[in-house]
Amino acid sequence: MKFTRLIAIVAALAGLLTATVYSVHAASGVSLPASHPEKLEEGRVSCAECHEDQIKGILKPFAAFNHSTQFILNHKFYAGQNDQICSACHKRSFCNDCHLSKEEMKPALKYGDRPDRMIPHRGDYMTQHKIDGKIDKGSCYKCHGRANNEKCMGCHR
Amino acid sequence: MRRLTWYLGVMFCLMPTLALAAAEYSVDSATYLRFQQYAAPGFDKKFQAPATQYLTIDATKIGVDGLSLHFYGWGDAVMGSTLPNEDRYNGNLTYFYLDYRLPSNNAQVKAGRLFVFDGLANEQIDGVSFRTDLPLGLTLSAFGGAPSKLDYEKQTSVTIAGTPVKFYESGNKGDTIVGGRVSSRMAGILELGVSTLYEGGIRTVISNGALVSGNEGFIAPGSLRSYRQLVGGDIWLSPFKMVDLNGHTFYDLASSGIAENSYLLTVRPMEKLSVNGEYTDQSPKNYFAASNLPSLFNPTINDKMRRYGATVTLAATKAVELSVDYRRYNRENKGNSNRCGFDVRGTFVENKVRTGFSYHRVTGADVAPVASITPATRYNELRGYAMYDTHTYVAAFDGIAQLYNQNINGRKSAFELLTSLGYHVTPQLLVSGDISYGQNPDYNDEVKGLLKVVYNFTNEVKGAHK
Repeated sequence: MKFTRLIAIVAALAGLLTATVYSVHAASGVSLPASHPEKLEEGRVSCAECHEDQIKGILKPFAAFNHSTQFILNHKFYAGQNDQICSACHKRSFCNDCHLSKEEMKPALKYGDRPDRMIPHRGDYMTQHKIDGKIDKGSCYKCHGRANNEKCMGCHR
Repeated sequence: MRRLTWYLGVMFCLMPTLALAAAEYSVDSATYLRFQQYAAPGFDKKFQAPATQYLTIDATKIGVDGLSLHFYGWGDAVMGSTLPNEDRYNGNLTYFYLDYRLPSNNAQVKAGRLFVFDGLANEQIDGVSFRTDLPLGLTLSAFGGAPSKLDYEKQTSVTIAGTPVKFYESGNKGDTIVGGRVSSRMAGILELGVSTLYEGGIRTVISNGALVSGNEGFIAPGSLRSYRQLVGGDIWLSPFKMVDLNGHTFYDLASSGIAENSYLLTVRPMEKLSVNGEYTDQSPKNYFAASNLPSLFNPTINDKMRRYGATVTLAATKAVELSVDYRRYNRENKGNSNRCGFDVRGTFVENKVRTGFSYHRVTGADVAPVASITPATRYNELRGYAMYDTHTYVAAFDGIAQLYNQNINGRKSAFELLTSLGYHVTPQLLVSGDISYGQNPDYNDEVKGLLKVVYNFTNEVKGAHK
């Protein structure tokens, strides 16, 4: 690593640490709880069933996080801005059920006993991936473009 | 594998001490045993039984409030025959990090191997990340370290112009990665974020034996670079309580172009009804620029990929949700495709019974053939499932079928049926077995069996079911 780059990284991290300490003393804002304070039922939750107002830690309405089908399909938008709200209920490993740099078993195989979970590549995907790849290769890239593609390399070289 | 062994060694030394110090901890273990047989004309049949172990450990309040340790990884051993290019032993340390949450301002520091998902970053790193809220509605986050290398990268070297150059075949990871995001919030109305990422020292890569990118200062023709640099903006806008706009635009500085625009507009005219429209476009030159598999994700291809569509979701009752969707895909050099259909989901008897059915029609563009499949990109897809979970017994059935308009390898359909039965030996210990049968254009008959043992232990007294 170049010395100047190392200096830049150290300076950036030092600045962030300073900002962190400053913010703790100066901003005194409300934090999200580390975990949801009450037990929740299994399955999809609807935050708006109990909460009408905003989530104080991130200043967004609870209703935006109701776990409808459309929310789950588009969860990247919510997680990209506010992954702390996800971690109030989900362990990091919940995300890694699908999102991994290296995986031995496809998620649909691991969770054959949970057909209610929206998990990609249900059924045999060997034939189907050739069709989906032609139609929308960009959606393959998200998970297999830079990692988790060791098996792809068997044929695609 | 050596790095994984090193990490595991450290973990097993540290873990007992930390677990004893932790006020709350949980252990999730899942063991899978698969039974597989491969048969090909002219070759002996091969039987194998891969055993895969996943382990998650979370220890919280280690000594002080807010300090926690998180571990997740898996190991795999193949019993019986191995296939060509298959390792008998395999594994991956997915994450192993310390997390300290400060008491206010959502301030948080993480160190170790961790995933960063923030703005445009979606990275696995060995390093440090910070985030905090600042005064005036600002938030700040940053990370730095080394990207986690793929263990299937093959280090090798070539001599170019008399100089030996090391590179990683099938690899795309650099030596250093840094990035961060700054955002500004107006309560309940707007969040605007700007994020950036720089990864340097990438010694990649090859496609068909030709070096297309190398060390700093040696950038050969092609589109891959020895560094990766992105900037992006993201937005959440809610001018009215019933309307949300989410989205982002990412720009690839290394290849000088917009990699992705992706936006989602959601309207909730009633509590039970939500309507959304989405638009995404991606440019291969910029979006695929950092791929380690350019033969598949070719950044030099002249194409533009767009998809847009709408979904209407209605929670008809507390137990039943109906969703109708339409999506159109456009590739400039391959044509237009459409996917539309519906999905019905139900949960009954205090969530013990969960069931669903979906139908989708796909009309793909007639594109240049690969193998023998095209032009069968037109098909109907049906899926139905039901499960019953009494917390003592679990039973599930799942069926999926694709009905193609034309033959693929002499077959006009593919299907798979799966049945799963499980028994909770104790509330923490579940033993289950899955068996599936299918037929598809690649296999006349496909039978798969899987035995699964899951152990979840936690002494946490609050929180959701994670």
